[in-house]
Amino acid sequence: MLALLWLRGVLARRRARFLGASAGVAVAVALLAAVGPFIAAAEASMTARSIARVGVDWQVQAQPGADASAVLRQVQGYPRARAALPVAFAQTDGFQASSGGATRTTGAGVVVGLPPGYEATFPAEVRRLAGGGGGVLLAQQTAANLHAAPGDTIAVGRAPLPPVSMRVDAIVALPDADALFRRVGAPAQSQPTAPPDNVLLLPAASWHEAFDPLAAARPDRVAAQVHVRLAHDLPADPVSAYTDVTGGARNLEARLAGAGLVGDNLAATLDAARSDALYAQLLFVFLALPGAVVAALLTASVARSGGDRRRGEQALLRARGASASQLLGLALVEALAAGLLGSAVGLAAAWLIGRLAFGSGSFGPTPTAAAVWVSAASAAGLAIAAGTLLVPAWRDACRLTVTGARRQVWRVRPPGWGRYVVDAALLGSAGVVFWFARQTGFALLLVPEGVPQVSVSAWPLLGPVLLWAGFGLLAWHAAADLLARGRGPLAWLLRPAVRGLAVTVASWVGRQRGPIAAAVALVALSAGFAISTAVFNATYRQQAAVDATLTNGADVRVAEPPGAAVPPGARARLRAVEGVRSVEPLQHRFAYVGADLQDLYGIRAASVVDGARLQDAYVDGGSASAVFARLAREPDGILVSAETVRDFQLQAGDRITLRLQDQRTGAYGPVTFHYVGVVREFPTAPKDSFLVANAAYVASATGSAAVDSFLVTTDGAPPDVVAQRIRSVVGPGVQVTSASGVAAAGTSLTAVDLAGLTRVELAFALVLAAAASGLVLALGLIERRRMFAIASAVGARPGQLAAIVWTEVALVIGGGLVAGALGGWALSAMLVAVLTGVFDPPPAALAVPWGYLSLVALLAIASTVAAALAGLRMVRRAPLEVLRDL
Amino acid sequence: MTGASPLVRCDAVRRVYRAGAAELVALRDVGCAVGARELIAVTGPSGSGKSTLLHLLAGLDRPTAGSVCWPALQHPLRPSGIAVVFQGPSLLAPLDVAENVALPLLLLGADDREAREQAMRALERVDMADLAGRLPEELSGGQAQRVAVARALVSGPRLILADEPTGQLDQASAGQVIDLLVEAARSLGAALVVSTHDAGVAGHFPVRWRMDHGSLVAGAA
Repeated sequence: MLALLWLRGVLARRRARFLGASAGVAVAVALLAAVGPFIAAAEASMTARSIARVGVDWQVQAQPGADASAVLRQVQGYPRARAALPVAFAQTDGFQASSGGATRTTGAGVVVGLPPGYEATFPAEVRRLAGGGGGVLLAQQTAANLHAAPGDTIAVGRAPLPPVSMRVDAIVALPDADALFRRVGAPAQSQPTAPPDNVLLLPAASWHEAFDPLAAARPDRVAAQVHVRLAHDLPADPVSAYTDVTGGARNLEARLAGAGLVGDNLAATLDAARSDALYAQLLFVFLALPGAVVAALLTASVARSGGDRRRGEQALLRARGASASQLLGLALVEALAAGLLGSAVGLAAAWLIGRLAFGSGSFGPTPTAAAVWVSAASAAGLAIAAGTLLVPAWRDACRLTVTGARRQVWRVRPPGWGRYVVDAALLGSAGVVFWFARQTGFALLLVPEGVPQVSVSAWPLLGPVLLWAGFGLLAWHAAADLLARGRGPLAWLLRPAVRGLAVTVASWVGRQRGPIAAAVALVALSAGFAISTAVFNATYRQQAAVDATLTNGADVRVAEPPGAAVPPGARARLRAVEGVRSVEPLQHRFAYVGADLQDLYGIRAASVVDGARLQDAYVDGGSASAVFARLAREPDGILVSAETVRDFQLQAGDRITLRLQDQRTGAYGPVTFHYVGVVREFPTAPKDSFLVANAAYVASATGSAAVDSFLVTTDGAPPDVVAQRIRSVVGPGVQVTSASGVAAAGTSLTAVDLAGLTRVELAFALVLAAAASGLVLALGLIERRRMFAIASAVGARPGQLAAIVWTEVALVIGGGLVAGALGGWALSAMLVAVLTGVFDPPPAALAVPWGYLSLVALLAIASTVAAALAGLRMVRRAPLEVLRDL
Repeated sequence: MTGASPLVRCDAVRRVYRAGAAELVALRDVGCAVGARELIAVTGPSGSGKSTLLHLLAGLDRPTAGSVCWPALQHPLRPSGIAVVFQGPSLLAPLDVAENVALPLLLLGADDREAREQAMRALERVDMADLAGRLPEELSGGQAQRVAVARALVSGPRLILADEPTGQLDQASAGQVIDLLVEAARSLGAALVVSTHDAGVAGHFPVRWRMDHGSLVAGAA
């Protein structure tokens, strides 16, 4: 009864303070809960993208001796199979072709038999590059090796039987060759390092006509598979989807009873996505937490600003016989009401944010995850309400006497060096954690391949947490100390503005250092949060763009059709297209390093760094400019991958003899290069091993300067738009792709569209920074309006009161922003380093969104000035209730 | 009151406080004047309008109707030369005792050293010089009120208004404070208006105004 009476009184007469505390709780809950819809949307997007990029979901291989048609029937009968087609594989000892009086022979290869409708059912497996609609398809590299074109006849070896002849209908690329030729059932370490160099695809009838005799003679040289497309009604989150798919594969294997093994390409892709999904969760919860802490501190500020009144009311209640437990009961009711109201409003706001920003009204990828997420955010809201309303009441009830509670004075402990011990311990611990984390390569996740469980090793994240806490405390203590010990210099600084009152104002703010230093720390923490969030997001966007550009090769890549023999001078036509800044011709050849066939790129070393926007992270041993300048100075220089350096024990300056194909004769011959450096990444290059050399040298060694693709950098115009313009110039035979298209099709974490979350987080950061500076100052002025009323009563003119207020404004906003900038910068650097696993490739430098940060600073200043103006109006019109209390 | 211009004059002053739909009439058509060197006690029960009248005389509040003017105190809207002593603790918590007392002088533009010297003299006058470096929270109620008196006197006011200055003090301290105020007013040649509901305190004053339900029922010219 008493509790309800009290609550009614609070709602009727302390409404502003109660709603203020509830609003603080709501901001924290909304920020935490809004991450739920983002993660739900991001994970669903990752799952969908993973599924979309898989060419064949399952490759079910019939085991030796098993009846392939029985396996096919079993697979077709599997409830979740939407399509199941038989595919036959045969090993060939090589292909042979004759043209221009020369006969060319390849090494061993694979001949695949495809049933009718295969290309339509699995469109990602085969991409036709040249030729007609027939079914004899020669892989691009094989065609290059044989100098074969559509219409040519090739001989297909099938030892010990005599070869058969086939007329080539088309040249194709096999974008998913790694998966297509994987060894089904073999562990990862036993998989081939590269797909076969020589591949021919035949219609199933032709294959059986040619290779059924081989199957009878050498059954070990043929294999039968069933390629399966599954129903994609999978759970939205990659972890559950992975578990679902692997369970299904095991179920099918059990049905097949040893007759077939499942090569689970879908699970392999989801396996990679589930670590990205966990990273996404970890990352954005981590980014949201500091915002929630700032919101909690703001709530505490709101609650504290009514502390004197609460203490007075407690004293009155105690004087009339209320026990400590009764007082705590009243505070509990108030905290519960504020916590529940704030949590409800926060959850509603998060739901709305989710709908508007992410198109998802769900708080999690699964109902359980959503329930956990909502519960956790609400619990955080209730904890904040309890911590800011209940704990101070409990502390006062335990410590203060009635008389003490009625004394309305701000207690300030004298500053001491001892308090810096905690700050130093936090900052030092942050450094130690960071150092250890760097030794382990900032590994946050352990995702064992093929194992459903994912382990999180989140301790490296303690580094930024400790740094943030340490810098907040340091800002608080340093501000308090500067105000306490620096009154002389402060008075000197203030004298031009406040003249004779300088010493008095310096004393005033010096003894008000408690609330002023707390405000400085709060502004610093919120500014640090805004800066680190903004820098992280900007760096993330920068690297996502770099990733897309790297994958595509450039903003726009113009790939010439096979055999087009386009000269480097053709770049002039592209250069003239509107929106094009530069065009880099790129030769793509293949070279044998020992027995290892690697991609070789011929480039213009003098201009490629600027022209293709190469990053320093792409090379070892110096900046990209330095390494490519070294290559430019050595005409026969070559950059090789770190893996090749290790495998072949290369030393700088070593001579490497590669075997390159002469484009005129088709024959492979030795060409000597000088090893001049290590390249890690290069536009369009594969992840593992490749080579980069000077185009002129490659042209002279191979007898052809033909360019395979052009890397086009735009002048800031959208790549899609420029790609469209180029398409209209080069015609339909040339493949033109833009980085924007690649980004949209990507699956990695950097391909997750952060735009919605970025908007939400940056908006929260703006609100918190503005609230921290404006609200805290306004509350401070309200809290001390009695003092201003006294000053006014003893003769202070409005201008003199304004001088005091503006001094506080300058100290809070100036000190807070400077401390926030320093802390935010350090935090950003540490955050990006600790979360380096998110970035691919790692960033060469932080991206600083100056526009947004200027907006934060301007908004913080504007809100502070607005609060100061409102406060000044209040202190000039000293409220009667204040006067009457004097 | 003497025949010279009064320091402050109220004509048909009415002050109404509004709280939502409710109205509280604190003063009803009050007319009065305070002349130079007058010593006046304003008496009446709690809620009779004493504090409201003093706030209006000090220029800290404005009447709802009627007028308040300060013919002999230069400024028509916000007078100078008036010092106020309040009932409760009214020292500024962030300033020490000496700084509190020097504040009125600093606000008038005096330099630090001069203000500090005058503050120390004012503190000696109320026997508080030894506590010049203390913060207000370190003082007893009586000590704080003596410091408030010193602060009121330091700028040499022509009119001292004290609103229940002994309301929170024991009898001995109350007597000391009233003696201080009267003695200081006499030595400065200032007028002194003290509101009180204590007949003993009112007995120190040659002129006594009595208020009841917002009206000045006796004593005012």
